[in-house]
Formats: sequence, C-alpha cells, structure tokens
Amino acid sequence: MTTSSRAQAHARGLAGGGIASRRILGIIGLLLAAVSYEAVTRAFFSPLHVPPLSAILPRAAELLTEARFWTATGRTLLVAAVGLLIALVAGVVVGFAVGSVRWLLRVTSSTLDFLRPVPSIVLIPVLVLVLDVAQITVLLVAVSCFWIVLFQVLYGLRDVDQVAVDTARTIRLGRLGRIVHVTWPTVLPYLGTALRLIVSVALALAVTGGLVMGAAGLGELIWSSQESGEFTGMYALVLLTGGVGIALDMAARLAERRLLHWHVATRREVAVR
Amino acid sequence: MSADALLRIVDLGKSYRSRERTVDAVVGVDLTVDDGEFVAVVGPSGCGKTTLLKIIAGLLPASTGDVFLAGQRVTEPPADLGVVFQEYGRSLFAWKTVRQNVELPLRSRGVGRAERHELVAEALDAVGLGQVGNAYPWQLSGGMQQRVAIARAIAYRPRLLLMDEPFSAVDAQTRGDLEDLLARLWRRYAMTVLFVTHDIDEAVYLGQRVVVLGASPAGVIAQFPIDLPAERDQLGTRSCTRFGELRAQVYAQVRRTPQLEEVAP
Amino acid sequence: MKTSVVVGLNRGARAAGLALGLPVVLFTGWWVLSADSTNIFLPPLSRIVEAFGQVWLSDVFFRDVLPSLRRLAVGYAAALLVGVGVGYLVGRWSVVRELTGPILAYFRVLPAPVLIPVLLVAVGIGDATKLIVIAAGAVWPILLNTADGVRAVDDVQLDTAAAYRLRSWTRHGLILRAATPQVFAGARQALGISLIVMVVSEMLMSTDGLGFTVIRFQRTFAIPQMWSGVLLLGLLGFGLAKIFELIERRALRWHRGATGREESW
Repeated sequence: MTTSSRAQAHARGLAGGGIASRRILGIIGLLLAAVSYEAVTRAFFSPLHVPPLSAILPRAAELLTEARFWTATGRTLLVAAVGLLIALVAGVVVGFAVGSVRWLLRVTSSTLDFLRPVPSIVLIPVLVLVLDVAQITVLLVAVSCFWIVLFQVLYGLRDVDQVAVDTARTIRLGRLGRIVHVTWPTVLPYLGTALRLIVSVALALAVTGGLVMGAAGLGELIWSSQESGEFTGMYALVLLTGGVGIALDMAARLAERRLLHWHVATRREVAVR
Repeated sequence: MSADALLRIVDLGKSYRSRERTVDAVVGVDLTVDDGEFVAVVGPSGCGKTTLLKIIAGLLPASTGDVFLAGQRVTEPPADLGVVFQEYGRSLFAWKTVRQNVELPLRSRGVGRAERHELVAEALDAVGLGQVGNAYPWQLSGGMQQRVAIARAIAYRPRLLLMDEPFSAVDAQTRGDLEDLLARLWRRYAMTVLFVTHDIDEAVYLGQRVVVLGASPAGVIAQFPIDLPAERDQLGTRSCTRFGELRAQVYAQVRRTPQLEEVAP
Repeated sequence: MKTSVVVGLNRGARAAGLALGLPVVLFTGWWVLSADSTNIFLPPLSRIVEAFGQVWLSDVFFRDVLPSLRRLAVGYAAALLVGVGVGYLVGRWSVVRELTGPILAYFRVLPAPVLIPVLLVAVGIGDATKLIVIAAGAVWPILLNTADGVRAVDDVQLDTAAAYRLRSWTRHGLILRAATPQVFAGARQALGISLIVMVVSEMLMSTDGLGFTVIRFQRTFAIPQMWSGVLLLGLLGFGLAKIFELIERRALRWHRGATGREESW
C-alpha cells in the first residue's frame, strides 16, 4: 500500500463519518423506525392485535421488574448455555479427531455432509417420546450448534499452513507441540467465528423449544401470553427477547476479541489484500 | 507546444484532511502532454503517482488546480480515456470471459454489434491473444491478464491512455515483452500515453519524455526529453551509451529528493 | 469457506466407495439392530421404510408435502428478493448502512420463530402468516451477507467501471455480480433457517403440511409413520442443500477459479 492510497483510505474513513456520527445516524434510524411503526399501527391496526410502541414499551419496562421474566430468561439462558457447552466440547473433540486423521475424514465426510442440513427440530417428535422437554431443548441447541462448531474446526484444520507444520518439524516439535503451537492457534480464530454464530443459534433454539413444546423459559412465556390473549405483553416479551439476543451477541464478540485480539487483527490485514 | 497539447495540468494539488493533520499527497504539479506523445512519469514509491493519475482520470477530485483534456476541464472520467491499472487481476471481471471483458466498455458506450466484434477481435489480435477470447481471465498468466487489460483499453480507441505501473507485478521476461508490445501499439494507434512507473529504466526505455516527481508530496522536479531512436529494442537500446547517460541523469534527480521510508507495497 | 469438506472426492469408484461406505454401514446397522425391536418407540427400520411408502407416496404427498414445499419456495423467494435488494442498498450507501445499523443488528439476533406468535396475532392463522414467517426468518442472513459483499467490492473494479464510463445499471450489475459469493453464503444459511421455520410454523399452527403431519402421527402414536416423516424431513433438508450446492457451483465457477480453488489450464 502506497502512502497515497493509505491517505485515501483514511480520507474515505472520514467521509464515512466517525464513530460518533455513525452512532447518531443509527439512533436517528431507530427513531425513524419507531415513529413509523407507531404511525402505521395507529393508522391501520387495532391496538388489541398490533399494539403501538407507546403501549409495548411501558409493558416491557414493567416486565423488567417482574420476577417471572427474569426466571424465564434465566431458564432460557441456562438451557442455551448447557447445549452450547456440549456442542463446543463435542464439536472440538470430534472435529480434531476427524480432521487430523486423513482416512477418518475421507470415510466420514459424506455422512457429515448428509447429516448437517437435516434440521435439528425433526428430532422433536422422536425425542418427546423418551425425554422431558427441557432435556430435548438442550439437545436441540447442542445438535444445531455442534454442526457449526464441527465444520468450523474442520475448516480451521484445513487451513493449517503446511510451511508452519514443516517448520515445526524442523525444529523437532513433537506431535503435541505441533498441536499446541501450530494447529491450535490456526483453529482458534475459526472457533471464535463459531462462537459468534452459535450464540444466536442457541438462543433461537432454546426459545423455539419453549414455543413448540412448552419448555419453561422465554418461548413458553411468549406462547402462553399469546394463548391467554395478553397480546401487549407478548409483543413486549418479543422485544425483550431481541434485547437478550443483543446482549448475548455482544458478550460473544467480546469473548472472541479477548480470545484472539492478536489474531483477528493480523487476519484482517491479510484478508484485505 | 501548448497549441496541440492534449493534456494540460495546471498547479494541481491534492491533500487529505484528517482531524489531526493535513497530508499533502500532490503539490503544484504543472504538466503538459502533447497529442501523440509518450510521457513516462517516474518517482519513488509512495510519492503520490497513483493519486495524480486518478485525478487525471477524473476518479478523484483535485484539491487545487485543474486538469484539461482536449481543452475540457476534467470533473468526471472523460470519454476517450483508457486506463490500465497495476492490479490486472482485480481490474478484470472474473466472471466474464476475456472477450466479454474487452467488449464491456464498448457495449456500454453503445457501439453496434458488428463494429464491436471487429474492434474486440482486432484488439485481442493486436496483443496476441486472438486465441483465448473465450477463456476466463483467471485461467491466464499474469502477463496475459495484463494484455487483456491493454486490449480492453485499445479496443476503446482512447485518445489518452493512462497506465499506472502496469508491468510492476509481472516477471522480468514478461515485462520486457509487454514493454515492446506497448511501444508497438502506441505507434500503431497513434495514442497519447501517460505511463506511471517507479522503474527508471522502464521510463527511459519507453518514454519520449520522462517526468520526475519528487517524493511525497509529489511535484514535478525535472523533465528529460529522451533522444533515443524511435525504434527501440530490449538488448540494443538498453546497452547503448546514451541510454546509460539518460538513465544516470534521471536517477540523479530521483535520488536527490529526500526519500521517505519505504512503505511495503 | 467452501462447499464441503470433501475435497476432490469425485475420483472414480474408490471415491464412490468412500462416500457411500459409512452411510451404507450405518443404514445396515440400523436395519439389523432394529430388526427384532419390540420397543414401540424404536420400530424396526423395515417397518419405517414400509410406512414411508404407504404414507408419503399417496395423496398425502399432494395434501401435505406439496403445500409445505410451496410455502417454502414462495417464502424463500421473497426473502431472496428483499434480502438482495435491501442488502444492496445497505452495502452500497454508507448513509443507509449507518441509519439501519442498529435495526439490522437487532433483527439479526432476534430468533425467527418468535415471529410466529406475533404474526399469528397480527395477521391471523392463514397461509400468509406462514409465508411471512418463513421470509422474515430467512431474509436476514441474505441481507447482511449481500451488504457485506457489496461493500467489499474491489476498489480497482469500481475505478475501472468509472474510468470506462460504464452505464449506471451496468455498474450495479457488476457490483452485484462481484458480491455473489457472499450472497450465496447468506442464501445457503437462509435455506436452513427457512426449512426450520417452515416446520415450526406448521407444528404450531397448521392443518396441513409436513410439520403438522409428523406431529399428528406422534400424538396418535403412529410411531413408524412418524419416523418416516422425520426421515422425509431429513431427506428434504439434504436434498435442498444438494440442489443449492449444484446451483452455487455453477454460478461461482469463476470465483473458485479466480481464488485458485480450481486448476487452470
């Protein structure tokens, strides 16, 4: 990169607005969306079925003070977290086992490719016969996230630099040393990506479990508000569920950055070319 | 001289402003290029050559000064302008065949089908790629890809051809071939060429005139008419005494400018 | 990150053996181990296969499978249209991007199935609700990936398009085409989501469709039939992914070539 093009990049960054102006525009966008939602609902819908934001927001604030909301959130998060952990451990173990033994990868890859697109919720009717709903929800979360973790690990292993491996060999690193110093650092960024992806998947399936099977948590709370005709509360819960999603996403991004601050930066630099 | 000037650059400057400081990339460039001339611009890496070229092409607004092409002030990419970038791989559209790549500007300009085919075929033949029209750019070597970019430019029949370090990413052998190809095309199509490079030998070998830009911020610090015979060839020209003298003169000027620390390309 | 982990597996019988080996072993294992099963929840595979033929190769196919597929197709197509269109605007213009940033971030993490009760209340229990839910769930990955792809289009390509004065619609086309790898990545993700949302919406509010039928079998303890439905859903997911992969391979041949994932000639 020449100095001039760097200066250009800099100038473009400025033209695109600093972080502050970006934030202001984002807030303006949010306000615009809120106002148009309010106007549309008031003009075209009955407040009973599609309540305006001015009704949803106070209800959401109220919910935030209620224990049942926090209990439900806690349950959903617990289910999501347990499933996520199982997926992480299983995905890393299976991924490393399959990915680092060449013949194993060859033998299993068609099966993995076959099973991956099978939506995990097809398990619901089968599992409902033998497990309780909370266990099934954990399993749903785990299965869905497992595929993401597994494939990220496999992609990462495929990305391991042969030159780095050869270098490690020439300095007489053993198998374990190579995994610690070469393989693991290569796979780690892929795991970071996986983490970012599976957090929202885990939340989605934990909530889905509540919607479909009535597993205790946010999903169940939303569904029961719908069934009992407490529509404003339902809208408020949906709004808050998105908020939970945002919080989880931020946490995952933070974790990813903490985990790989060194690597993310260098990768970006390379990726730009 | 200015009577038949095709390109006139007057007191051109470009600065980038950020909150902390203002960076001058180009300062006070005055340059005139006559119709049919081949001008090579040399300067150290990172001296704002690319910025200058982008302003001439109308891709970037100037901060001060003006660019006139055939008497018209340049505010947007002018018609009759061909550009060949250094990054051949990125300037060709990978999902289009070689022929489609060359054809695209003509199609957009509204050239009729029959004439378009003729122009494309001729341009591809001229760069020696008549056989690979249906291949995709990524199936070709780097040198061949750059020839596609050149074919795209000449099929467009530009009055002014701008080239931004077009041969700096290919190997030495290919580079010599491409230089000779370009010299032949220039004579054949009577184009005006503004050729930017950081390679002094290349500038002296190709140019009728060599313009030396100073280190950042770029400004014209010297100009040399190149009084070598019009017909040049890699071995003979490069080993003749006059070539060596000119090369040394240009080199001295380039060296005179304080070098910034090199930024890795 | 490309299609499958299977790298260059299409090399004759050995490859076919490798690809089919494990699935055949697993299927046979299931068949043999379940042959004498008396557990009503785990019927013999032979009974499931038998039920599969009885249930799905009858008028049920027209009554339940086709409506499901139609919903999926329409919802997914709508998501593609809206996602690519809006994603283009978001990726191309920074003002749009910054205005919509927080809103998009919100909908990206909002679990799609929670829209089902909302739309149930807002729109009612008709087919429209299911279509909207499928589209609303699938649109985000397409939109966000398209925006990323459009935003990442190479500067050199944009400069080339500008320098040759390509018409604006040609330029939009080029930018979108350059972004297709990311568009496909989003569309692939969206395909999985739309299938899930389709099944969930049918489980929650339907009188026909695959999801509904499977749940009905389970509630009436028609276990082999239920298993056959699960199998069908699995096959559907797999089949759709394969079809998608085929289309993607064709559409992105240039991308694999240009990024060196395919040998040049």
